[in-house]
Amino acid sequence: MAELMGPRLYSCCNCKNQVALHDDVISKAFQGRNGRAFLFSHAMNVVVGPKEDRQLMTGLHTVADVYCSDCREVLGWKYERAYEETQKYKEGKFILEKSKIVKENW
Amino acid sequence: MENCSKDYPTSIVQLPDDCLYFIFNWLDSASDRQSFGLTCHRWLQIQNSSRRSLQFQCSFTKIDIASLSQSTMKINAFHLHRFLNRFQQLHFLSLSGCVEMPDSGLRQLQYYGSKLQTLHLHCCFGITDCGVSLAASGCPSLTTISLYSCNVTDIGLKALSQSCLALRDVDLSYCSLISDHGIRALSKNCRQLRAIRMSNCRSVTGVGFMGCSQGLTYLEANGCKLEPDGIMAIVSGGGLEYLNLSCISWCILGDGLRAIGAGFATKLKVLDFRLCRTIGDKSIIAIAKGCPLLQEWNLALCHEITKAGWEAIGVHCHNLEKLHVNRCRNLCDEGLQALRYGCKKLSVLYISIHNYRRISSTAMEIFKCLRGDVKIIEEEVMCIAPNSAFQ
Repeated sequence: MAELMGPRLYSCCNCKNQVALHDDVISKAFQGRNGRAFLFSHAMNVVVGPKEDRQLMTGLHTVADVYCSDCREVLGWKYERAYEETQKYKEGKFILEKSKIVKENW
Repeated sequence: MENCSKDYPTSIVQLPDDCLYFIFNWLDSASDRQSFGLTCHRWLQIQNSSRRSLQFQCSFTKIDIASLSQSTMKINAFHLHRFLNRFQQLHFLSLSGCVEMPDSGLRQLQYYGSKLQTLHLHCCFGITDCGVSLAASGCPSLTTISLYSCNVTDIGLKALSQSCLALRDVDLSYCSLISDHGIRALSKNCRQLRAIRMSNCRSVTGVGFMGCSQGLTYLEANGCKLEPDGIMAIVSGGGLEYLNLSCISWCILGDGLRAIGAGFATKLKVLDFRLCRTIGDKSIIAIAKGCPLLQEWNLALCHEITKAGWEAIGVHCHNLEKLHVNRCRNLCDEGLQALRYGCKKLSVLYISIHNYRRISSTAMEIFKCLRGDVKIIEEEVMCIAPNSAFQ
């Protein structure tokens, strides 16, 4: 019963490792590699990979792939740097793909 | 004695067949055996019927570096017919890697498969229940079969269980269409069953194992959606020595694995719970008490185990020789201390030292000092299966 009162969580689809809180969702309108993705202000129990420059739909960014800390499944990426003023708000935030995370406790 | 060979010189062709078989078996180089077979039809027949094992390059068990760069010939049904026609005394046949082999390729097994003991069909995606039934009816002496990743359903398993009563080792990994009905048929009819691999068989809950024989000593059920009843059934035989339940974190909630400690799995020696995220202290305590012969236990990434669980392991696991605790989030200094005090027979501890938040370097150094007999290894071992089956 305690689970129903707890925070609403997202978990890794592969091993159910808790990776993000629903409260940290900033936007649900992002595009990931294959489908919808959510922008989170924080992610936990994830490992951040090496930085690389990528041309995304919104322009050039420096991103780092984000992996589940337990099973190493790629869940999304973290914005390290954005090169356009309008995209700066994303810096330090995480994109987790909808297909890679599942709802836990709700 | 002097008169015998006056008129006709004796030659080797006058030897009867069984002598020639005897001579052939003494030839140990492949080129000698080839030459023997090229001599004449009769000798070719002797070579053919002396062959006991057949496998193809696509199964990659014997990698010949020089040939890797050449494109391999695809073995099809016609080739297989010719091979089975030619080699009629096979004990071992591997079609692993023949991804396009259809069911009809196995038809010749009905005539020439009576001595076949081992059949490997790893990744034979073209084989269905029909092919397995053909193989089953033609090979009643089968002891080892592998259907890794084949499109087999319960119907194929039932056919196997009815014809191949001597089955001992069965590999059903990644056969996602198999359910408990097929497992029940196998475990009921094949009482010689010793080892089953059913990794990632998503439709199996485990209840099919109820009433399995005591001879079942080896079971891999990682990645299956097991239920608490299924766990009870799996240990009901009483003979299990190796059990792999890794990566079933999302199915068994809370204490569902406690059944293993309930007294049926007393012979358990090797237990793999890697990435069983939800297993808690109650289950660990029950298993530590109920499996006194445990020699190797993999608890890597079992985050819910806390001090009570580690203490139970220290106190009750008298025979534990190898313990894996890599990346367990709730293994802290006190837990490590409990392990240090107990587990007197421990010889190897698999633990990640460097990115550990909960264990201080002091605690680690004390452990190394006071338990110098224990080897510390940082490596994460994915598979701890013993070599007792599937040789």
